[in-house]
Amino acid sequence: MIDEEYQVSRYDGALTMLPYSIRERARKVVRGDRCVAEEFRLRIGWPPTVLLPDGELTLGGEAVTREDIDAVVEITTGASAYSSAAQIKNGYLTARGGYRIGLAGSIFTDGGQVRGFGNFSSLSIRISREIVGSADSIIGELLRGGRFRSTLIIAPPGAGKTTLLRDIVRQLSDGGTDRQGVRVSLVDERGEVAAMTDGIPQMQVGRRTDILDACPKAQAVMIMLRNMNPQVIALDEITAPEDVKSIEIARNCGVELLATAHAAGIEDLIRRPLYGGLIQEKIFHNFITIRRVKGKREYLITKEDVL
Amino acid sequence: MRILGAVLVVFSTAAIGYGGVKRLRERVRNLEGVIAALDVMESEICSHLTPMREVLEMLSNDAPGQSRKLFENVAEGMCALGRCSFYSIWREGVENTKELLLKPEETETLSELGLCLGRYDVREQAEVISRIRRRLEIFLKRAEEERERDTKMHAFFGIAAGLFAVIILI
Repeated sequence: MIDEEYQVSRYDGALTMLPYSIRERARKVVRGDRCVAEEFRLRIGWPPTVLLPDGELTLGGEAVTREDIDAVVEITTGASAYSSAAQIKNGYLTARGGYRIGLAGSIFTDGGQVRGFGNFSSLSIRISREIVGSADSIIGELLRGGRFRSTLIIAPPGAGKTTLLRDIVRQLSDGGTDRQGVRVSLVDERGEVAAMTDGIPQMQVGRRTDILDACPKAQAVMIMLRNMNPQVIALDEITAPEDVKSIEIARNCGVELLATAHAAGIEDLIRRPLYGGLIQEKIFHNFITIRRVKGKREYLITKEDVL
Repeated sequence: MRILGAVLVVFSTAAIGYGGVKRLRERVRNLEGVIAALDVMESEICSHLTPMREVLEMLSNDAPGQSRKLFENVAEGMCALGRCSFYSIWREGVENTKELLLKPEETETLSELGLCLGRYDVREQAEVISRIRRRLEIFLKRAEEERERDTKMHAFFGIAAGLFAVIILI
């Protein structure tokens, strides 16, 4: 059972990033919806909405303006958007407390390279929630001979991959009554997993976890591999060929991996060229797919030898 | 007794005149201080990408003379970010820093800076800071001319007014 106060506090934390007029409207959302709200969405010309498991609920009132969008960026960055330029260029912002803001608007390119981002037209504020113990039911199945084996979490966006990854990292790092903790290197490019602020993780990721955030994943994997002597490397969202290459290198060095990937299921994953090599090379031993049944998450584990 | 009174009157009016002189000198020093602080601000924001709170804190401690009060006031106002925009916090900071002795036109110019500070585009901020600095340099030149021109006048009228009052009263 997840603490209701915690659920509401995460919603209230996200509220502080909204401009004052919208914040007041969002405060009026009923407690039950505040517990399960997943995102705030602001689109210029339309009233703001809050995303609930069964769809978007409009907050009513005046339509969102350009000033509202700019205000969110200003509040989130403490009037220092320039210091988050690298994140904004990639269309997101990580806020204190582990909230992530996705941005949409106009990208400026030069020679095919993204040079900047501006004229924001819409944004989403993701209300991420830490669910300590979410991996309790499956952690034992990810081990063989008491040792963690490389695992890939597969699900569509918003299904809870990051939440599960975080709890697996915590459990591996802290250990349990029947197993010792291991050194985990957490590659947290977008700062969503550990939500590190001033060097201190805001989420529980375990006592033996070393975190590298705000660094492209492929580079971060190599840095951690060279410098931190990890037993497990964890990373969120494999999205590029460079990520795949770095994972293969890490695996060949004898390090176990824990990662997530966007896909509807294993069949969908196999069809994608990016992940095909990972499956053929048998990089991962366990595949976890996440399903939502009656509002609850269910985890299904498939072993590599049955594929 | 009369002589003592006369001396006191002359001293009082001379002090008022000297106050005017001091004010002219301070205005020049304050404008110089603000311009120097903007140089640091531009470098911190555009070259080092230092977050705004740190820039304000740095200038609250290190900016020359009374100009540090401006950054102190803005830094204090930052706790209202979210209820108010950074622009209004900056503007309020400028308007409430009476110690700078700015004229309305100068206050307006410095307030305009808040419209672009803290935005995403570093180049745009550098351009606006440079523009505001150039305008402040023009105000500084005027203030220096004013100081040169009016210092003697304030001193003279201060003493002369005292002497005149003494003559009338005696």
